[in-house]
Amino acid sequence: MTGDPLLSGVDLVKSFGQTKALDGARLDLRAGEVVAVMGPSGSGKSTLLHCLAGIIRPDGGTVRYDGRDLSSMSDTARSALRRSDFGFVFQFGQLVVELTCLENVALPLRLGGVRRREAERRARDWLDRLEVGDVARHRPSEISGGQGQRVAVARALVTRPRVIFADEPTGALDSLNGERVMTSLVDAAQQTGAAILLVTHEARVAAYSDREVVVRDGRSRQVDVVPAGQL
Amino acid sequence: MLNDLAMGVRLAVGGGRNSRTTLVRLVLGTVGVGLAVWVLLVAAAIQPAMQAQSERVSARTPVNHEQLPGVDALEVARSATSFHGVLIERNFVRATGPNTPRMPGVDRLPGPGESVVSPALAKLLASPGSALLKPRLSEPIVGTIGQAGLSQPQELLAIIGTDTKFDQAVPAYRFGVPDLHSELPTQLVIILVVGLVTLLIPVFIFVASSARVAGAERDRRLAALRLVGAGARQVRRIAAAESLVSTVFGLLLGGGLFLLLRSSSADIVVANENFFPSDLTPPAWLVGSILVGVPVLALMTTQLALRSTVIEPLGVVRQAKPVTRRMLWRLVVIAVGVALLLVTDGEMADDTIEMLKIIGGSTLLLVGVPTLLPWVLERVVARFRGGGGPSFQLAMRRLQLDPGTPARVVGGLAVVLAGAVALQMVLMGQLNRFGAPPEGARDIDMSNMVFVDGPGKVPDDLPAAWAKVPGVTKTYAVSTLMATTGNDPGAVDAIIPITVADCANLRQAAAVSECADGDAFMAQGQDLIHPGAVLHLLNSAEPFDSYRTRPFTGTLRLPLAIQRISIGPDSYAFGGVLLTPGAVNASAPLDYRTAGVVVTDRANADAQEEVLNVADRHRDRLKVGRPGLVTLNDTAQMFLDLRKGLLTGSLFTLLVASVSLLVVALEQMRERRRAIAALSATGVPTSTLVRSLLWQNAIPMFVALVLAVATGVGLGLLVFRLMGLGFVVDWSTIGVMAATAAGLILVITTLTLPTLKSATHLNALRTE
Amino acid sequence: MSIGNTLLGLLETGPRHGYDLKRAYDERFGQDRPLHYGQVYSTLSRLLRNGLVQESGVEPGGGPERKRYAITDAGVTNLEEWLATPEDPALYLQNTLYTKVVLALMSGRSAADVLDQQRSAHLRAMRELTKRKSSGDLADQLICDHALFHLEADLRWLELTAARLDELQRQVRP
Repeated sequence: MTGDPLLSGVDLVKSFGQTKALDGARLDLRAGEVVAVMGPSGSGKSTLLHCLAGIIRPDGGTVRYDGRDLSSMSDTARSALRRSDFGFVFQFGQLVVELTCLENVALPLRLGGVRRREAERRARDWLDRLEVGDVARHRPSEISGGQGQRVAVARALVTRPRVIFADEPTGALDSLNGERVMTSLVDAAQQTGAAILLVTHEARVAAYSDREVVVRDGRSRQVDVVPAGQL
Repeated sequence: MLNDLAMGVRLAVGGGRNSRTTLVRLVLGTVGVGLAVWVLLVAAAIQPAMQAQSERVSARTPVNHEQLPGVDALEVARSATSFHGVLIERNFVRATGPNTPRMPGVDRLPGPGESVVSPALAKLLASPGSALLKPRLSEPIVGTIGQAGLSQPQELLAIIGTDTKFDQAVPAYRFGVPDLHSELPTQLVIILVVGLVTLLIPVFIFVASSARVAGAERDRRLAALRLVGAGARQVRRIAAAESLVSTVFGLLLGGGLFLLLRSSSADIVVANENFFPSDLTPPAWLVGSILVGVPVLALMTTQLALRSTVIEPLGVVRQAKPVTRRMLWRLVVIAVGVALLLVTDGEMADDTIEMLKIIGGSTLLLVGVPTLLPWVLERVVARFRGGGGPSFQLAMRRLQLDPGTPARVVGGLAVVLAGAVALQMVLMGQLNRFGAPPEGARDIDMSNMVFVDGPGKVPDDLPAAWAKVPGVTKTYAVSTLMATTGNDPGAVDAIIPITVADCANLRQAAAVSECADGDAFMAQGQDLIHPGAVLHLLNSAEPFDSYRTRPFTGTLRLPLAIQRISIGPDSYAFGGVLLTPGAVNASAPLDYRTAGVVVTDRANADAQEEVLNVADRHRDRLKVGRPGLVTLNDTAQMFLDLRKGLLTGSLFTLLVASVSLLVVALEQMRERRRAIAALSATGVPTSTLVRSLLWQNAIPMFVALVLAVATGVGLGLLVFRLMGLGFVVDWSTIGVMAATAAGLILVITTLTLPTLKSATHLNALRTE
Repeated sequence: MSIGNTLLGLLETGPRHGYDLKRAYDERFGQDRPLHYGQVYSTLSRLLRNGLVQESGVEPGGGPERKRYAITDAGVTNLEEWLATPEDPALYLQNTLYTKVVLALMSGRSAADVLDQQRSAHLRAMRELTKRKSSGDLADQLICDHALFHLEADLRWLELTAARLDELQRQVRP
């Protein structure tokens, strides 16, 4: 895997009040690869993800995505970018409780201006691919956690994003359901060519990645890929 | 049991990790109850305050018809004046002997050339801007009028001793007439009752909604308590104690606010009303019911709110699909209300039973609005199948999931609106009936004019002296007579006003162009009289209403040559005859009445004061002043006052309802922080969220508006029926009220935007 | 193998007698299984033969127990390589890893690097297993899962140790 990274953060610094969440972290993500960000809780890994996704603006350092400098873009522009190029899967709470699963998945498309009928057709496709087509008309409160995460994965993928940000996507699930969600996520990303930035503290989840980055005390350590022959 | 209550209190006053949210909850609840208690106390104090005011006014009214042995009459002459548009009462008093009656609030009667003034007037006279008022109140001040002699603290009143005999003086043998204020016409009673019900229901709704503040968070806490072994009953008791804490604080806050208001009431003027602190004393039984009723209501609401949630040790189970709202009982509420009003006998409105029927009926009808609203809203949004833009979809789905909360939120507003619509209708009907000019009919602004009226001929010096005042643009003074064509003083056919003035004044008063002494003029089209006719003169020196009861004072023969001129409705002598002094040919000395007008430059506010100063030398004879409110008969005036009061009240209630709306809206936002943050993270633009929020508030508001207007018009019709009147629906007023409510929604949505914005800043994502 | 490298590590802090070496080893690493003298001397003689240690002096009295040994440059290189090479992610390797971490700390090397290397090797193994799992049948999956869970347990231990390095450092080099 060579070539320019699709997404890269350099020397990222971010403080919340007195605490320094990030202190010179760096990370590269190439097109189509799956990178796991690991580290103890409180190490700043979620903050790293939020910075890279343009959800928050770092205090220092730059984030470049596809040749653009994210840290200098306006809030609106970053919002639009998140909508069009990125997908998100969080631990919980990302589904809109009022909307049905189908409407939840269709929401990013509709925000992008796709007509309702078309948006819901595509949303249903994704729900079917993730084997949760049967809960399309249910509300999030009426389905299981595993189903909910798969609906969230469908929503993250429906716009065919180039990067998916997943923050502890299996955090609230048992092993089997966690595994199903991860398999669906990685398979689907592979099919659409999306890269995944995966924040997790679970090794078994991180094992779905191509390589890992460890964050400790706000600094990231790029753990090099060791040629397979040395094993 | 006591233990549980103590635990609830402990939880309410917080501490611990969530102390900030606990505090917010406590504060919101306290403010809610506090405001309500305050409003209730004020409402309870208004009637006694008005009563006290009117009692003092009655007590100072001079009695002149019964002569008392051993009492020397005190001649009292009212000669009001104004300063920059503010009315100043002056009573000139002249003692006819040593044993004059005592005036309330006056320790020592001012001797000739002395005065006693109210504290407010003393303050005004001491202020630097009062130089132009001083000439009219130049007598040295020898004392202050006490509370017993004043209707309200800010009243501007002077009692001035004099030895001049004023024309308008009446002899007073004692002061104090029985207070008749409480004997209100039944129609007024009906309006008052409906008005109070309208104003107070939203307050109770407000208490109820503040008891529910931050309900979700409380539920979670209660669930945690169940986990450690609290029983379902215990949890209820704990919740009760918790809401009791904010209620008690609220009572203290409300009571404190009321005392604060009371202590400074002498300086607060609302709608020209203003009270002494001691006036604002609500009756003890009302205070008692407020102190008991508000906590009971808060407790009941808490328990009712807990009814639909099952608090389990592992969290809160809100019945996932809430029971479909039943329509029947909601309709029964309204039906009973309508029925009660239909069986009420309006003629007997002062009878207690009938009164209770009116109260009950209008209360039920108005309470029907917030009870019916959730059901109607649910039906309306249930039709939604997912159309519209994403923001609309978000809002609709949210409303489908929980139509109860927004309906409760706008419920209070809807009641105010419904009540206001009904009251407005009824009051408009009353005003039309009593012949008061509808608001806005007096479209000529006369504030730059001074009118002069009084018995006798025009004083020779006045027109010339006025003309010299800088800023006077037009002035004339004429002497008038009243005459009639008929022969019988008891059955006067037509009253012909006769104006006597020299040519210079006639030119100003009417459109007279060519004029010489001895000329006479008459309006074109005037066919009641003809040149050379003999008219019977009425006693013109008396005020207008008493002509008919007086005998003729003489005759006047009109000249043979009378010029016809066009006299427009804006000229003084509309419909009458204008004579120059040389054309007057009368059988007896004439009692003229003076009439004059001085118009001043609007830009020169002092000019008017100078004019008043010049005229004041004739204060013993002439009434000189700005045209005030068109004089209405007392009942119409009372309706006007009432309308003003009720409108002020509904404005205030509207404010209270809006505050509760804001509180609930903010709380909802707080509870949904996480969800908003997640949406924003996935790239949903803030503008979409804002639009969705607007829809979410506007849709319930619209439904509430329709329901409120329907109920309001319905209630108005029923009340019209009670009063035996035909009805008028004033759509423009309804439109204004609806627009106000809609505007409020906009304002409230705007006020919640900062919270929304801060939620999208995603810190909410970090806290888990 | 691991005893040889361990002794090299101990010698890096300074020349020692065979007896000292045994005592130091037992104290730090030999909780359950103390070394036999024979093991010590046979290992030392293997290291001598490979030129990784040398005799640095004999005290009066003679006999193998009187010889002092010191690490050679080749020995240091060998030790460094060993420390830098992650262990094959096999089961129950905490002992070796623990030894490595302690030796790294004693010699002032970065123990965190040791742990990170290991962690990376573990994850690599887990990735392989995860891949194999996705293409295998249920039996394969279950077998892979077993290994995955064990590796995960190791990884957790690695993380925990990484978090407690400062504490360990104070104990090893007060």
